[in-house]
Parts: sequence; C-alpha cells; structure tokens
Amino acid sequence: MPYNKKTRLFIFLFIGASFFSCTDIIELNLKNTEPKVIIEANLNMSDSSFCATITMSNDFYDSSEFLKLENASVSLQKNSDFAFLIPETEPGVYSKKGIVVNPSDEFLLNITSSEGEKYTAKASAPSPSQILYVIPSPFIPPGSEQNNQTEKYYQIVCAWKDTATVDNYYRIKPYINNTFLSDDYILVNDNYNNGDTILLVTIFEIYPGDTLSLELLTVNKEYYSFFSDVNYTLSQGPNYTTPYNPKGNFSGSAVGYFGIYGLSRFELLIY
Amino acid sequence: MQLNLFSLLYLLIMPEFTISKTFFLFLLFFIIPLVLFSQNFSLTGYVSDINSGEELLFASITTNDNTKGTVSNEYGFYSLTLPKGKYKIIFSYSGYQKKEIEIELYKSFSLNVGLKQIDNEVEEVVVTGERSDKNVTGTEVGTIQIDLKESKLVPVIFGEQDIFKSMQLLPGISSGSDGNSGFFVRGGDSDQNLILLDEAPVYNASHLLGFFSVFNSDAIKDLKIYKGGVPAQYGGRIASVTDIRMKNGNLNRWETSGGIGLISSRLTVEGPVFKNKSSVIFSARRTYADLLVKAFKKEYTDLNLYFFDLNAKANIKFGNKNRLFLSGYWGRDIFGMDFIGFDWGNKTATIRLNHIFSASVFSNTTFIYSDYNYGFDAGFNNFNIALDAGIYDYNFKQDYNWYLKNNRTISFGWQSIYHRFKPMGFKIIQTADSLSEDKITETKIDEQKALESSFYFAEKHTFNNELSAEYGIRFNLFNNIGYAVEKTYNESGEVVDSVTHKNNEFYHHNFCFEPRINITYLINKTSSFKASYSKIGQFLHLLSNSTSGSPTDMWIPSSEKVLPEISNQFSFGYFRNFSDNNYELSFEGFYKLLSNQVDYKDGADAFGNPDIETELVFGKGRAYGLEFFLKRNYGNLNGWISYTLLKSERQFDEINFGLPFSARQDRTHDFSLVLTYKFNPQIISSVTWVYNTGDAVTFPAGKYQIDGQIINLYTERNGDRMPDYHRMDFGITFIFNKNKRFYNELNISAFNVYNRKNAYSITFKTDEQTGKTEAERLALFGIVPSVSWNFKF
Repeated sequence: MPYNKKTRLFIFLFIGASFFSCTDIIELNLKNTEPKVIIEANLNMSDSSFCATITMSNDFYDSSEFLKLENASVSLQKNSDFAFLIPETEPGVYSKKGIVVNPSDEFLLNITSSEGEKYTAKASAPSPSQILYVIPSPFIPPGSEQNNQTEKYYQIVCAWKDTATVDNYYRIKPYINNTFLSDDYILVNDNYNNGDTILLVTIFEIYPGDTLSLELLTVNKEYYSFFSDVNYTLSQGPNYTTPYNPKGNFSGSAVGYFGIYGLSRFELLIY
Repeated sequence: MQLNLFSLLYLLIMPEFTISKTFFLFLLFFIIPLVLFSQNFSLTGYVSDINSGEELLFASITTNDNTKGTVSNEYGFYSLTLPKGKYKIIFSYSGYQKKEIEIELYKSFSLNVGLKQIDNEVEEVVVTGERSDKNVTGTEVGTIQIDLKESKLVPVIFGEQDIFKSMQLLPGISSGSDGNSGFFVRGGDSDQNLILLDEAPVYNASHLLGFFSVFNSDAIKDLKIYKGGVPAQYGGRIASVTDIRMKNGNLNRWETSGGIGLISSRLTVEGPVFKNKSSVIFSARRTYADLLVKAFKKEYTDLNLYFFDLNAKANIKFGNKNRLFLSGYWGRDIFGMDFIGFDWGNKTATIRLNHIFSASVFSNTTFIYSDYNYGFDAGFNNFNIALDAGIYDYNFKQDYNWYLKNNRTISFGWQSIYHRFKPMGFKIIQTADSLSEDKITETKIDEQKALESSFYFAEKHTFNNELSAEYGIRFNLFNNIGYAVEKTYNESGEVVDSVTHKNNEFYHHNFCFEPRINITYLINKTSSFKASYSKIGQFLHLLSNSTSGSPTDMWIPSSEKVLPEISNQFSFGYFRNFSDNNYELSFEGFYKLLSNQVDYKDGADAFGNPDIETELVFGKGRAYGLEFFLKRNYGNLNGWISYTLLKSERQFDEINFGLPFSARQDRTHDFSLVLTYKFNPQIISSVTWVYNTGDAVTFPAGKYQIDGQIINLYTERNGDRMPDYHRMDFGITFIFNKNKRFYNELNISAFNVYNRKNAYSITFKTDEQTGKTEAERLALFGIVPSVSWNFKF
C-alpha cells in the first residue's frame, strides 16, 4: 500500500505518537522449541504437477538455512483409489508430474518421516476460474496533489468470473519482473460476489519497463484458511490479534498445508 | 440479628424457585415489625458545601459520643434515627470543617447542613480537615473513593488532569499500556468494568485512542470504585463498578473555571438560576492538535484530529422534598482528512428525581439514555467504503433507601434497560466507470435488541459496636427481543436451521441470581477485619480482535449460545489507621472464579460476519491476589504506596491446547508511589513512580518458511512477558491568588522524567539486508514536558 508524506502524517497522528515515539532493535531472550516439521504441499491442476517441500523450523535467532526433511515416504491417494508414491527429486522436495485432477476430486496425502512420524492431509479440488482481463491505470494517492509525487503507482483491476454453484477461494500472487512479492499476495473469497464477475482493485508501485504478472489461484478451503491464518500472525502488535500457529490441514504436529489449486496467469508490460 | 442472618443464609442455599416466597416472609416477619414498633424520631436532610451548595456524598453524621451515626447517600441525603432526647450531632467530611449542632429531638424534622471547606482560598491544596476513619469502620470492602483534590495534583501526560489516571495508581487497578485509559481491576478484562456517569453507562471511556479519559475533571464531583463487595444496587459487569457523579452547579454564585494546556483547553461555567433553588453547569473541553498543525502547515487544511467533551447539568428544588436533575454528556473523537474519516463517541442523558417520602424513606427515580457508536469512511477514485456500529440503551431505574433505625438501612429498587445493538455493517459503493456499472456491496446485519431487568434488595446493619454487615440479593433477567432470525449451527459453523422471531417477541431468557454480603468486624477503634462474597453476572460482551482493544470493538448480547459471564468473588481485608487517622494501612486479598468467558477463536472472521457467534469460544478463568495500601493523609508531605500481587488466568478448550494461560493483564507485581509535598501554600510539588511486571504476551519461539515468507512459530499463549514497565512523573504547581476573586495556578509537569523506553509493542521481523530476524521495540513516549494554566473566578 503506497503512502505519500501526507498520508504518513495522518497515520502517525492517528496513533497519537507523532512527536514522542521511537523504535529500536532490542535483545530479547526468547524461548527455544524443538524443531517442527513444516510441510508445503501443492497439487497444481493446471499442469497436473504435485510438489511437497518438507523442512524443519529454526530457533528465532538462528540464521542458518532451514533443514530439509529427507528420506520421507510420500504418497498420494486419489478418490479413495490406489495410492502412488511421490519420489524425492531434491533433498526435502518430493514431486511428480502427470497427476490429472478434476474439480471435486478428493486427495489424501500421506507422509511418513524416516523416523516413523506420520502426517496426513485431505483436500478436494476446486473449480478453477480464469482471469478475464487485467487493466492498469496510473494512480495518484489521495491527498498527494500538492506534493511532488515522484513515485509511480498503478491501480490494477483484475477480473475473473466466479463459479456460482460452490464456495470459492482465491489467492492472487503478484510478480514484478518475475520476482514473487511474497508479502503482497491477496486472499479473496466469494462471500459477497457468489457467481459474479469479481473485480479486484489493487495498487502497485511499478516503473515503466517493468513486467507485472498476476497469478490467480483458485484454491481449496484449507489452503485459503492456512494463508488467512498466516496473514493474521504476520500482523503483530497490540492492535492485532494474539498470534498463533496457522492450523493447516495436516494431522499430527506438522505445520503447513496440502493445497490443490487451478492457476491462471496474466502478464502486463508497463510502458 | 441471628434471625436475619439465618434468613439470608437460607436465601443463599435454597432452591431458586422459592426465593420470592421467602423474600416476602423475610419482609413480613423481620422488617415490618421493626417499623411498626419503632418509637424513634428521625433527623433528615442534605449535607452540602456551604459556598457552592454542592451535596457532599458519603459525609459522616454521628452523635458526639460516636455511638450512633450514618453517612449521606450518593445524593447527599442522610437520615439519622434516634430516641427522643438532646443530642450534639457532628457533621463531618474530609477536607471540611466539622460542624456540631445541638438538637432536642422530640419529633422528626429536617436539617440541611452546609460545611465549610478548610483553607478555601487555596482550593487545590490537600487540606487538613476531619480525620475520617471510614476506611476502618465502613462496611465496604474493596472500595475506594477518589479525592478529587489529590487527583488534580498527580502529574499526567500532556498536563491534562485525569481522574482515571489517578485511579489506576491504586491497588488492584492496573492501567493499560502507555496512552491507554483502559484499565483492569483484580485481573478482570477491561470490558468487565461498569463505568457510570450520573448513572448512565459509558461504553468507551477513552479519547484519542486512550491518551485521555472522557471525564473532564472540572465537571466531576465524586468518583467511587468498587473492586469487590459490590453493593446489590449495581450489576451488569463482573470486575468492577466505577460510579462517577457530575457536579450539580453552584447554587449560590456564578463561577467560571478553566485551563489552557499545550494540546487542549477547557472551560466551565456554573451558577444559580434561582439562588439556593436551582443551578446549572456547562463544561467543555477540546484538543487542538489539528489547529496547530494547520497553523504551521498550510497544506493540511483538510486535517481533522481532535476530540471534544460537553457536560451539562441543571437541577431545581421543588420544596423540601423534591429535586429534579437533568444532566448530559456528549463527547466525540474525530480523525480524518478529505479521503478518510474515523469518528467515535458517547452520548448520555440522565433525568433524575429525588423525592423524600418521609423522614425515613428516600427515593430516586431515573431515566437514562446512553449510546456509543463509531463510523468509518474512506474514498478514492470511484470507490467509497463506509462502516458503522453502535450500542444504544434506554434505562429506567427506581431506587429506595429506607432508614429503618439508626443501625439499619434498607435499599431496594429495580431497573430495566432496553438495549439496542447495531452490529458492524459495511457498504462499498462503486460508481460506474469504463469497466463496470454502479455497484453497491453491502452487509447489513440485523439489529439485536434485549431487555435487561433487575431487582435488588440490600440491608446495611450495624449489629453492635464490633460487628456490622451489608448484605443483599440481586435478580437479573435478560431477554432477547425480536425481530431476529435465530440460527442453529453445526460443528463447522454452518447454518443448519433457523427460527424467525417476530418484532418485539421475547424469545430467549437468561437469568442470574446474585447474592452479596460484606461483613466488618471492628477489632478496636483503629483496626478492623472485613470479608465479602459477591456473585455478579454480565450479559453484554465486548468482542475484541486486538490485544489492546480499539474503538471498533463490538458489543454483543447474551443469547442461547453466548451465556452470561459469571464472577464469584471472595475477598477479605485488614484495615488499620495510625496517628489519629493520619495514616491508613490495608491488606486485602481476593479470589475470583470466572465462568462463561468469551473470546474469539484463532483466526476468527469477525469483519461484518452475520454469524459472529460461530467465531467465538467459551471458557473459564480465575484471578487471585493480595493488595497492600499505605497512605498518609495530612501534613506537608502526603501520598500513598500501593502494591498488588496478582495471578489472572483463562482456559478455553480451543486455545493453548486447552491448558490454562495467563490473561494479558496478569501483572504479577504492580507498584505505585505517589508523593505530594507542600513547600508553602503557593507551591506544591508531586512525584509518582510506577513499576509493574510486563504484560503476558505471545512471543515466537522459532520460525519457518512458507512460499518465500518467514513466519514465526509460537508455542504457548501468553507464555512470555513484555519487559517490566517503570516510569517517574513529576509536577509542580504555583498558585497565584493575591486577588481573592481571581484564583489561578500554573502547573509544570514532566511525564517519564528519566526517559525510560517502555515498550508499547514488540514486533518481530526479518532485516531485509542481513536476513536476520530481530525484535523491534516501539516506545510511545520518552520524556514529555508540559505546562498548563488553570483559573477560576
């Protein structure tokens, strides 16, 4: 969300701390905890691929790489049919292509670590939507007319058609010059737009020559809930909810999710 | 005595369905005969300030041998019943010259008494006067009456005198974080405090996101807070009751007072309409941060950033037996610029009639209106977003005081509150452009209505020179009222059934029976032991999805799914005065059990959700602690030391793996020191120092990565602590009153003298350059100097 100077002033005054507040980095003794298994499992309906990345959590101040959980046994079962094994293609990464998925298909993911710990998750396939159009227009932030506005902002309107017969959940992932803006994804559901053409209006700081790509992921409810929880926990401070671990849909003590999504991508070159 | 206690015990343990029958038997056999066979006469009237005519609440009226006495009630009325004879009656009130009046009592008669303030010329000075021992001899437990003169000397941020900030320096009462006037009493949540302004509930007592309270000290006459042993006349909140009374207005002469500070000013005008019969008072306050910004920065002409308060009150006496009061409060916070706006505020109105039926029966009839609401709107390009919500109360209340004998006073009455809840709804208006047509997206959640009815009966009884008690019962009945669509949900929170209730149909009932008892045993003239038990139910619940609370928190009523919150509190205390009541010492302890506590579940979808009940979880809690209080009342150096040792826990099946966890306000140690030193009648300085254990919070114990994001890993709800909080404030007041008709003073103060960086929040983030995760502290206030000038003429 872009802020110009005037908006910043308002925000500071709004929290009543414009003249007296200060921030600094402090040393805080935090508890440590046993590393937890983190599972990020995605089944992409659009290219029929499955990928699960299994890592371990670190202590908060630990700057080392996240450890990968290798040599796990990963299998996927479709519609209570036979299960097929997913090979480990890189350390901690288990992937396979050619898995055909249709809307409403049910999948059961089983993971067994080399130490015998079992984690399972269920997910059902959504009815994917496709991006209809993406339209950019220059955007002048409110109240900025009297200032020297050097930044370039664009209002981006992204439209897609929602499927009326089911509850739908979406995650929109933005990329600029093919770099994923990991903090700027947007979650949308169809509570107020069931069956309608959904218009998502958002604003990005983009410069001429940049390429903006938007990925529309139509996701299962568990995927949506997990990232919704992530959003809550990333909002910290006394004005936000008490933080907690996203629940995800895995049994056992693993943190993470098993998601199924359909993907629609749109690229835009800014002149 | 034994019969009455026996009756009370019987009431406490008997099945609920026979209560009304027993209650009437109680009246028939033990109270009415006392009246019928009484041979006494009554001395009745009001105790007031002789100069202003303001009634003095809880003033002491005793015979000179101190064997019989009473105190004026919350309206300044007293009734003392004595056998025929000659007496010397002593009227006294802290800070006032006591008055002795000789009377020969051969019939009941009325006597209004005016007391003179000591050192009236130096009004803001803590004066020496009648040395009260009410803290030892009174039946109240866990109750504190704030001395407004003391509170005006306590240094506060921005120099704005705030009685609420002073209150938070007392044992058992914890303040919110810096810049937060929310408070916590004996481990309770902030929404569990009932705040009454002239008997009207105030739902949000904060201005400017908590930097100020809504109470303009110039308009306030009295503040009393009940932390435990809450009298039966109060109900509806389970942690505390703060009863604030506005001034009535000077009955004798016109007065103007006010103050000019760095960011706010205030003005009060009061005086008689008809001398000694009718008076009015108007008081206003406004901050002007926005005006200052606009003055220095011309480009911010559209900035709105202020709050205002208006207090008004009028009263008129009709003969000796009737007095009518009209009072109101209107306050609002307004933030905004041309493209965004946010405002919230309270309105209250009270119409009150005091009527003296006879020498022994006093009645108070009150109609009260109260509302709290907020609104937000923002617009840019072709979008406009608006949301609003509120709660509106219409309240009728009838109270009686029946002075049976000099050692027995009965209070009873009833109250009925019609609540109207306007849940948060929002509207997004999209005007047509090249991409789309006009479109309005709106969530409109049906209003909810409820009727909260109560009946109470209480008796204050002095059994002998050593033992006295105040006991009572309160019945509450809470009805939900249609129109409403009552939904039934499955375990997933999906609607499986619904029942439509017609407009004004009573469709669900919650009942709560609340026994209360306070006992005082006077060990000797200077020390006493007290104990109390109280049960209180709460039918309104504040849903907050933030740890500190915000103006947009939502009030909801009890229902079939949301049961009333219940508190059972046991408390005890030892009270001792020294040096002719110059020093007050008390130790108090309490144990409180809480049930039907309400919270959002993790990740609740609260925004505009018509099925908000599916996002709630219900649990229990407990709080227990010890309180220590030592106060020096008189002399050039006075003040107090306050310490609280506290444990406050909550337990929900769905949170923290079902294990108990500390409530955020669980501050193990909470210490306050307040000192005032009078150099001479013109110069007074004050200093406060506070220390408390940091709030219980949830910090990360680890981290992990998902889709490019670093996410914190948590282990235990509120298992960590914010850094300990401590701070010293200093103030000095110079009083200029050479001309008696014009009193003025200059107050210079500094908040956070040694510039301690107390953490308002700690957030955890990843440094984009180094990739390291780190903790960032936000401290709202370093040292904040301020100056204000106050006047009165």
